[in-house]
Amino acid sequence: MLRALESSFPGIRDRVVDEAGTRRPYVNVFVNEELVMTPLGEVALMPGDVVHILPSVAGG
Amino acid sequence: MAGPYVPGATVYHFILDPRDGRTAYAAAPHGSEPWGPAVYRGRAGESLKATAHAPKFKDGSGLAVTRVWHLEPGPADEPETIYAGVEPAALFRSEDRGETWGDIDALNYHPTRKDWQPGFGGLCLHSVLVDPRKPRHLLAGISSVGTFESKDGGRSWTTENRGVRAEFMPNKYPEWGQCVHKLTWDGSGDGSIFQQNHCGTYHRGPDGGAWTEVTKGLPSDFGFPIAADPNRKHTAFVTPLIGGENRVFPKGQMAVWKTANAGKSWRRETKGLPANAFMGVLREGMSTDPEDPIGIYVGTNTGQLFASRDEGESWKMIANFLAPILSVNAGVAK
Repeated sequence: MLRALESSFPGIRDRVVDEAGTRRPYVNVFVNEELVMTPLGEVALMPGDVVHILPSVAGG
Repeated sequence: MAGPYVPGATVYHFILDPRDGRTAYAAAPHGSEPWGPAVYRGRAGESLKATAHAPKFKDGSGLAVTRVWHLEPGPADEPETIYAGVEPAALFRSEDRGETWGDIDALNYHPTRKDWQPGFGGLCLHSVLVDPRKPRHLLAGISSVGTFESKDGGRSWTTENRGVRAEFMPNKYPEWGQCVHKLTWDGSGDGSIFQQNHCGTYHRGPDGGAWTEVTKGLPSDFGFPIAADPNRKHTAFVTPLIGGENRVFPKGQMAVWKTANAGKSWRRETKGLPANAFMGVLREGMSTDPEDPIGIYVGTNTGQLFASRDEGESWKMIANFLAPILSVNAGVAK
């Protein structure tokens, strides 16, 4: 999905994963409102799935 | 005062390119902390924009850049060349003003790398020296790893830590593993270098080789920045702190110490600097400008910026109520 998004939003993949393909710390990915806890490469998306990419809350 | 630039981001290094006096570069996260590292570029005094790519390790290395710590302009006759020191420690070179970057393989995958360990501040390559006389002559400083030197443009590197203490190691003078805090050229222009280390202050002469410890006369072994007078040989400034366990000025008195003889002796300067000041200065927090006499600028981790126009004899606070100052860089804007 990230590679597909890259054509419309150049650089977006680099915001979510590093060059080793690991999800960046403090970047959360939700599929159908469920937090992805596994490596992103293991997630199989289905048509109609809704993906949110959000930074972790950080404050006090 | 103009700014803030890259608002909200932790800007580890912000420089004016001395080669044109117009281009500013910054090392900061892409937008904000979660989104990965970036290098920004823009016209000094105007907004900065992230370049197309940040430094990245090569595919299959198993490594990933988490932060850019230091940006160093390349030789005067290569205005588009810039170096980046990053965390986990590595050196990258761009030949297109930061748009794309290349690994300096021989350093980044040095045979000793598998044993590199981070210091308290992280495994960071924070100092890059490019010899203005011989641009293929490079030095790099890495916290808790030491100083590396190349004489062939980065194709090969040697460890250069003889004479530098590592009090936290069983062997106090190992081949590598020293905690370099900052490297800077001696204004002599003959290739001599000053070093501020976790365990002392050092000077290396024009012929390279071992470092001479010059801590005697300073109140402690520990400090972060060291800045040289580019117009006076053997002249440099440091801001010692109590120690690694207590990173504030000794006795709560902010002081800048000056040597004019490569560290053989030091003079404490406090005129205009605050007492009852329990704060410190970070690695990139001091800079000298190229004017004669120089301007010297010191920024604290509590957000005050001080300047001296009389070679360190007296100081004036020129900015207050800033965020913790991570980077001070002085130059002549054109």
